[in-house]
Amino acid sequence: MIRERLGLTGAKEACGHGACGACTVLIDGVPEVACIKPASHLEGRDVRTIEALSGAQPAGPVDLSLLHPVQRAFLAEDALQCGYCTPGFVVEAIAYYRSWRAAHQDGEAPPLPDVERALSGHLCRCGAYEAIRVAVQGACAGAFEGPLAAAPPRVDGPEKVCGRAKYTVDIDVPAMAEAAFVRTPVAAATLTGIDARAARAIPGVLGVLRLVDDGAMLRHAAQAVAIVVAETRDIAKKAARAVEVAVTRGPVACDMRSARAPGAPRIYVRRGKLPVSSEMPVIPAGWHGNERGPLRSDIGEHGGQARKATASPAMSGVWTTSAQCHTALEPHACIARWEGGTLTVWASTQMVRGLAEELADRLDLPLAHVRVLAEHVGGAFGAKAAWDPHVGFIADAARQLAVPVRYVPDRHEELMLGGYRPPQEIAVSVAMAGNAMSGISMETRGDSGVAVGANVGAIMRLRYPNVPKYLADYDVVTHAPAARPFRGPGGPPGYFALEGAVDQVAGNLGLSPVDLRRGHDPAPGFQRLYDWAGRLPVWHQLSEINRGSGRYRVGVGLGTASWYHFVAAGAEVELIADASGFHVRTACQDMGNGTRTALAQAVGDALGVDPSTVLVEIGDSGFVPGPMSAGSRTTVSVRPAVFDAAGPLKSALVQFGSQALKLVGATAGVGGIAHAGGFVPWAQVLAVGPNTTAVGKRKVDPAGYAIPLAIGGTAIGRHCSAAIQISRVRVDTWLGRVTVQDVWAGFSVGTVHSPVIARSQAVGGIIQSLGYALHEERRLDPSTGALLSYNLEDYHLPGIAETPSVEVWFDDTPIEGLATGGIGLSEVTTCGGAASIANAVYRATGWRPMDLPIRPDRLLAGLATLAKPPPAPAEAPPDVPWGTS
Amino acid sequence: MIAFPTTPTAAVRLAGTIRAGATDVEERRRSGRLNGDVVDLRDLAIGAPELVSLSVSSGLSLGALVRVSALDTPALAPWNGLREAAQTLATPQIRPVATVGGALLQQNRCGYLRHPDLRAACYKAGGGGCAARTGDHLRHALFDTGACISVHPSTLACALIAYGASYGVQDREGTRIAGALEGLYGDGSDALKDHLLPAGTLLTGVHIFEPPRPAAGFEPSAYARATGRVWAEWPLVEAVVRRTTVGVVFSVGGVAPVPLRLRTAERAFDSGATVADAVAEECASRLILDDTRYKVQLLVGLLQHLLERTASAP
Ligand SMILES: Cc1cc2nc3c(=O)[nH]c(=O)nc-3n(C[C@H](O)[C@H](O)[C@H](O)COP(=O)(O)OP(=O)(O)OC[C@H]3O[C@@H](n4cnc5c(N)ncnc54)[C@H](O)[C@@H]3O)c2cc1C
Ligand code: SF4
Ligand code: FES
Ligand code: FES
Repeated sequence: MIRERLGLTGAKEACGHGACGACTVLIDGVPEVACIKPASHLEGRDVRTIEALSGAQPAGPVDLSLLHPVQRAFLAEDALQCGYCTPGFVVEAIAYYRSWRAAHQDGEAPPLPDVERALSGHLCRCGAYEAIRVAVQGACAGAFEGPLAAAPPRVDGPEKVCGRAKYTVDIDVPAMAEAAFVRTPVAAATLTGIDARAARAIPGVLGVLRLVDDGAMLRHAAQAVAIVVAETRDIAKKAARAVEVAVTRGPVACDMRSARAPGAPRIYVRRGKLPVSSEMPVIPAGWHGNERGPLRSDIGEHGGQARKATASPAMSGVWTTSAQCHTALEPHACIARWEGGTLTVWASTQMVRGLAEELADRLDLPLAHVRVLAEHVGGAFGAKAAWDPHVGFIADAARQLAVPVRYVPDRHEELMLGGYRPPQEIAVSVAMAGNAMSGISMETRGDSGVAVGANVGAIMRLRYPNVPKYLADYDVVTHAPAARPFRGPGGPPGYFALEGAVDQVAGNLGLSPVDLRRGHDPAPGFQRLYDWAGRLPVWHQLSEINRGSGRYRVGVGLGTASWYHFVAAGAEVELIADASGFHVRTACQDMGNGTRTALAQAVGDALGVDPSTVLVEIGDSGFVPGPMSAGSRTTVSVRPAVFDAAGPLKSALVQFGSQALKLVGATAGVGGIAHAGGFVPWAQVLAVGPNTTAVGKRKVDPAGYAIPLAIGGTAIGRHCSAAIQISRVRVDTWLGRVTVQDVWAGFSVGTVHSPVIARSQAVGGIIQSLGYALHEERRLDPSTGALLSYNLEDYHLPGIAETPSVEVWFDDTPIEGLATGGIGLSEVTTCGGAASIANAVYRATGWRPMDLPIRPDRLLAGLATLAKPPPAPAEAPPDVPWGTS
Repeated sequence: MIAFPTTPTAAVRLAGTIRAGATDVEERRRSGRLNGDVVDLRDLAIGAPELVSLSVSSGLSLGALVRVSALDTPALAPWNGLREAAQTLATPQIRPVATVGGALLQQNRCGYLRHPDLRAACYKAGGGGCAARTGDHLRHALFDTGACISVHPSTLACALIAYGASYGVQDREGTRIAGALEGLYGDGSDALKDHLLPAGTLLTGVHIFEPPRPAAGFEPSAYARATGRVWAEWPLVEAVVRRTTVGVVFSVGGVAPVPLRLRTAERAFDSGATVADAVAEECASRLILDDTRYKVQLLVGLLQHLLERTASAP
């Protein structure tokens, strides 16, 4: 109501049922959720939104001095990524700041648990909590009353903290209509009829369009069968509910166990082109019932050697994981508008360019007639990097009904259809020869629903390169919606199993889990990480297993990971110099990963100018083709392209400047032209110059690529990233709760160009892995395939109080032969966390979690199997001193 | 139609769903699960100030329209378990909106009941069966007390029952104290209802007449819940433990379709049994659901935790 009628779009709607806090506003000075507030309850009350709390902001750039100290604190601490949750957090934090400062002096910061409690009603999918805590403490202590000492590290931070950043859900296209989908209530159904008469009769309904024919097989629940377009979203939803869908139901197999059972219903009788849940190309493999595979990822002779060795394993076990929903706080919203034969689509996407190409292709339009816009994107994590059928339906509906149409999925749709990390079942065996591993065998089964591509082996082959590995992946198709690549696809489940097995072998044989790994990690990056970790005070505790018997048990666990170096080969950027300064443009997007900041910084570094003066224009497919933002490729792709463009741009400016300003011996210097008589900054050159532009390209790394060919624009570079995460957990054996107290995470990704942004991204990846390890679990009803965890009360994202204290260390040694000296960071930060936490639980209790998430019931059941604690090693005392409290 | 009566008498003459803070009602309306007229209590505060008053004299009186956040006051120190319950439930942005009445009479959160497509298989949604029983009920009841196996959602009910609260109502007949709050919920055998308040009846408030025991100083009591995360999560099990001069009180939520006093366990504990044995004795007298058996252990852990916290008076 505040958003639609008053046009104040700062407050966001993310869940619509009171659980996430994104819609928080001050009502008579008290923060309350707006999404479930009847309009009549606002009559006569003082309502303040984020806009009203940001000072009397002028049009144009945000005036930081007018902001509330809490907002300046958020900027300085980089307490945001995509920024979608930020207005809600800021409003709440301002109320808290007021009450704290009314009772305390400058310099007094509130204790962390207090801050956490105050902000406990807010969720941040990007995982910015750690910086949020610090920002709120600092603001309350009075540290941000005055101007900021330095420019905010994130260039689009200012518009985000004052609710001005426009996301797709905030776009108001004149005369826009709203769409809602009619969906099948159950999986494994055959459509027998759609009756839309009642819906059509509802005033305000503009049209009901059928999307599938009678007789169509509806494999998963919530599959769209029709679309309703109406004047308002409420009418559209009401009308969608009024459409009657008739189906005949078949037996449902919405998980791997039922899809693999004898006599299981066949998900596909005829298999055409199946949806794909992977970022990697899907390699053909054979089918047995609902199972496809094996897809082998082992190298040469290694597979055979590993199988032979693991025939008599030192340990083997089966690890399982649950579906983790991406559930970015901004849903997959989109708007389609036709003007003549040209189509404009606003979409919450991580590939403006790719989406424009898909649309052009599917609608048979010239690319120049399709424009995709995404100024700000409220989180994505891989879920917005693929074709979304609903975008096509909306474009179609807009054309048929000749009105612009918007569709904003609700949280239920988002959690069901917006993408998830496939559940996995992973059997691992490890063979030992003396104190070294002689073979690893991993057989994985992944459930991407109606899709295929749940690869794990292709990632696992990166780890422990000198150990022969047998890596076989199977896909099991089920009556669930299609999975999508989720940050580090295949990594988190694979490492959970692999690193769990390695830790178990070490535990069984009484070896140090560190020494065992170290011997198999010749890469210098890993060696530097182990050296760093070796200096941490907790290092020696990694080998201990707590034999305590008190209520609380503490343990420290290690998880390691590696990830590919992906590059968007040929990605372009355009640099523009005109009287107003430097601009950089590319058809790329920022989902909170910091693309804008990376571009501004690259331009700053390449031209020697202050990055905060660079105007970054992205989020428009009409610009030169930039990279999609997936696979950690954005920064490593655009930065070299900026440098590539900077060369010719500088020459053009030098040439022009030396003529216009009559300079002798002019050459490009840092920040301007150096000449015999001194130095002229670029600003002076631009003031007199014509507009100059140059386009740069992401060229191949000096060291070349690992595979000479780029597939679908993606090249795999040489070198891999390395990560280790050490977690300290406290296990409450009475209430079954695992608390991650501290995390130490080291990353070797070469040169890190924006350390503050990189740190935020790393912490976010760590928080997401914490959610994966302990809390997040999609649950489907076994008999209908319908979603049961359809809101943010029942789908458990980690909150601010789950956030450990985190120490992040970047090795920061440039990697020779790479264009930026570095490798992308995003994915590897989330890969080793679950392993590290699960290993810590083992070290804390002696019980090894084999199933994620480590729910209270699982933990209690696991602890019960330890009824008799295994005998302690002879010389160690029965209670390690740090272990119990 | 939405009506805004200004007196309770006018309110009970109107037909429609009563709406107080709206945090539950509005979500159900927006998702299309609740239709029809609404009787909004927004303007009652003017005509019936007792509905918004919290008063502490020998006992405690809470008007039905008192906001949950108002219970977070030092005045509630004698009923510390109630205060802690109010500090914990939902989120900081819900508590200043949610009312005592709404918190006691809210609909349960079973995923089948609240799913727009699964209502045909749910008794409480008017359907013919309990899909949760044959489907996924990991977070449902431990005690199988009737055809519905949902857990009662009300944290405040769990807390108020621990203190022997009574409730007051107004209907067309007038106003009265209707009896013990426990009686508002019944024994969990009625699969169709989350509470037994007849339609067209207004809950006016709750009262704890019984002063805390011992009369001098505070009687120790505390509230806690077992959850995966620290805050803002529906409890797997929640409880208030009270140590009175005449014995211990175990009031629990998350284990049955109604908030429950574990009287068998209380008696066993008072006569010297360990918590684990006391809970085992309680369970022996009940039908237990297999998938939620883990809650037995949680119950033991939670009661133990609260007994530790209440071991010495503050
Ligand atoms: C994220 C989230 C987490 C939550 N966690 C918890 C939790 O841990 N524990 C918990 O107990 N609750 C929890 N809740 C639920 C919350 O407590 C309830 O939504 C709230 O208390 C309802 O109060 P209300 O005034 O908004 O009620 P309304 O939505 O206005 O009404 C709720 C029901 O009570 C009836 N009603 C209200 N007042 C009266 C009256 N005076 N007389 C007769 N009928 C009346 C209405 O008809 C309706 O059926 C949570 C809610 C959210 C959104
Ligand atoms: S547990 Fe109760 S509310 Fe849930 S489906 Fe069964 S009858 Fe309905
Ligand atoms: S949108 Fe209102 S709380 Fe989530
Ligand atoms: S920054 Fe919080 S959700 Fe993205």
